[in-house]
Amino acid sequence: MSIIALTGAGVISPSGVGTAFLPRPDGLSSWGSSKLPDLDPADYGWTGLKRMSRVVKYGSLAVGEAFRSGGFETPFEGEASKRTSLVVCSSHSNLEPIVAMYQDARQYGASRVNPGLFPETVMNAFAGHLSIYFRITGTSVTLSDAIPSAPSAFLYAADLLSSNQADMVMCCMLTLHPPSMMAQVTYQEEEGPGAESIVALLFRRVSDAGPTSAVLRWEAADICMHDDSGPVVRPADGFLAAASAYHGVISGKLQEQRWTVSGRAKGYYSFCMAGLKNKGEQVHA
Amino acid sequence: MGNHEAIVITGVGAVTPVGMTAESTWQALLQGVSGARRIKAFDPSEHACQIGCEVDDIEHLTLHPAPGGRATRLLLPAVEDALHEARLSMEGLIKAERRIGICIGTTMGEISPYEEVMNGRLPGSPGGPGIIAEHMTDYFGFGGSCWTITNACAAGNLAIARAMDELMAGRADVMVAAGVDAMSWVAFTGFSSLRAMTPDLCRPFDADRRGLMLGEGAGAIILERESNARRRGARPLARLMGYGLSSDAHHITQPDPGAEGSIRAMERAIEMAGIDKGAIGYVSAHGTGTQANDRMESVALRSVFKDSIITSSIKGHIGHTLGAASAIEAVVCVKALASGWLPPTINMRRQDPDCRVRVIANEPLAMHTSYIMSNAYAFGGVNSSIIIGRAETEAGNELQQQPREEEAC
Repeated sequence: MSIIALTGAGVISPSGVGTAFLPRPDGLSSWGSSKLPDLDPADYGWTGLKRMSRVVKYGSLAVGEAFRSGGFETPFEGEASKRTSLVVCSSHSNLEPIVAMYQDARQYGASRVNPGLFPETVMNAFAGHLSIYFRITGTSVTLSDAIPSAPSAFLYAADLLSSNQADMVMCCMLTLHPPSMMAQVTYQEEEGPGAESIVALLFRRVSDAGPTSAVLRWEAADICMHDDSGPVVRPADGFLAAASAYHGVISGKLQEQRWTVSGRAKGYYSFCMAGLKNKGEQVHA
Repeated sequence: MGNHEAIVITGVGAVTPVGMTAESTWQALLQGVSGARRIKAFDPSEHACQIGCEVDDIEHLTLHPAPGGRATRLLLPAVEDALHEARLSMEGLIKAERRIGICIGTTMGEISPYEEVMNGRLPGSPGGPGIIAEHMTDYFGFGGSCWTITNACAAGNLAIARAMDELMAGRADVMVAAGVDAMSWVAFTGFSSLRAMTPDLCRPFDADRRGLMLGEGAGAIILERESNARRRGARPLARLMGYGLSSDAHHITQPDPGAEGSIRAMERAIEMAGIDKGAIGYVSAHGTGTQANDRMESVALRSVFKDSIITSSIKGHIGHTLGAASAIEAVVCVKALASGWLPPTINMRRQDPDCRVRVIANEPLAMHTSYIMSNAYAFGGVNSSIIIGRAETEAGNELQQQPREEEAC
């Protein structure tokens, strides 16, 4: 079983910014394939992003809100900067810039393409922008599995914390619809694309967790026990389910929340979010 | 990650512009063969630069019809090459069920289907980075963990690091760590738009270097815990000692000229390896041939190793293969440790006085070393270093082969 502390969450969903209006994990599918609303990060205090792409603006907003809800001031300095890591999940957030590059080449010629476009076609440019904006100089990794998977990202975060490579890990999932012309050639979950969302979750070791923390545990399971494992959510919605459960536990509405995430190809992951000292536990990652 | 048993490399594979296997690539590198020629993957006539390093006849690389696009077809024979050397048959893999995983590093992923759509054609399979691992898993029957890491030009090193994590945590018995990138219009046009491409030859660390040359290829290494390798009779070729990762938080495409993040990555790798930095005899440089990278890397190498270190870059031979680069370079490090030869930087005429490191220029160097570091850097300010050590025999002695006269170029 893996155990880490969730210390802050920032979410942009069809419901807007924040975790307060998120449905419970069993209600996430009610959004259908809704898209994100129009937002300006400056309205939330995140300035200096005007020239960035939509995905960088929204991602910076979500990550900034997660740091803020965890009680951390950014940009980081010194040791805190080096001891903070980034794990980004993104499978096709680079497609809009790729389409834009082709359009630019058709309009101006291949030798006159806007040099600002290419870096954004590289999947980890998003994490690079985050590292510059928040001054994160620890490990930065971008995961691009065919079906983005919350358990993979959370496991990477748990490994960084337990191996003492980081004291904090910001995990960010980009769930964005591909440009319509690419929809037929991107790998999709069987149930369809789902709703757009950007979710940022700040993890720490349980032993370092503060008052804004909840304990997240998960383990792999070959079969899904529907009765006591909670609702089953899609791999891409695993971040949203964690953010929803975090809000329920931190706000005192729930003592604990269980849910199950279906695996990439087979099997399941059973998750449980609970208060830091729920039932008198003291756990260490 | 409680298991700190030695992680060994039992197989290597590569497909590069200068060789269809790890061994043929290694021999071509020693002989100074260059893969540079006019681009054939797409029509480059609109571009100012029209040369790159491509793999010829990709469609003939596999006996069976290969799934997917150009990147998958490059990687598949590289993984086959590595599995064969590690004595892992496909039948054995399928029987092994969940304990063999794969970790792939790539920059552009399987981009050819996207480019087909942009050119008005309907591709036969989906695109994207993650689809390559899906094809590999289906083809080889891997039942273990599956990772796709898209940290651009450092992705190969990050894939190797992640595979090491999986083995150290006991979540897998064998991990295939690989890197792949295919020649693409997007990457070629993109680097050209940044004015990062050389109009003639790629000359890492040369005073007159004019940029990188784009390449394509794939590299794969088979990693396992030493006890697992010994139990199934596989011969360790080398040991993966450790890795270090960091970010610059400086610029989205340019490295930090102060090299603080690169230095930190090297130092972390040395710390994890548990060796004295003086034991490292050679560094396989990222060495792209751009002004900014080679200067930054020289600053970092001097800071960590002072005057003592010897380095070279194989990007003059095979170009910058992006996410494949550090995986191919890991394969080359294994060959260098085993053979006692270090590959040269070709196309060197006069070393840049601002790159104050000892570069192996144009001819291979016969030198045995116990440990090699391999660096890779990427867009987004990513720094990565891995350390590979010479394999030990059952009796505890390091495997050593004398450089043979006929191997000299």
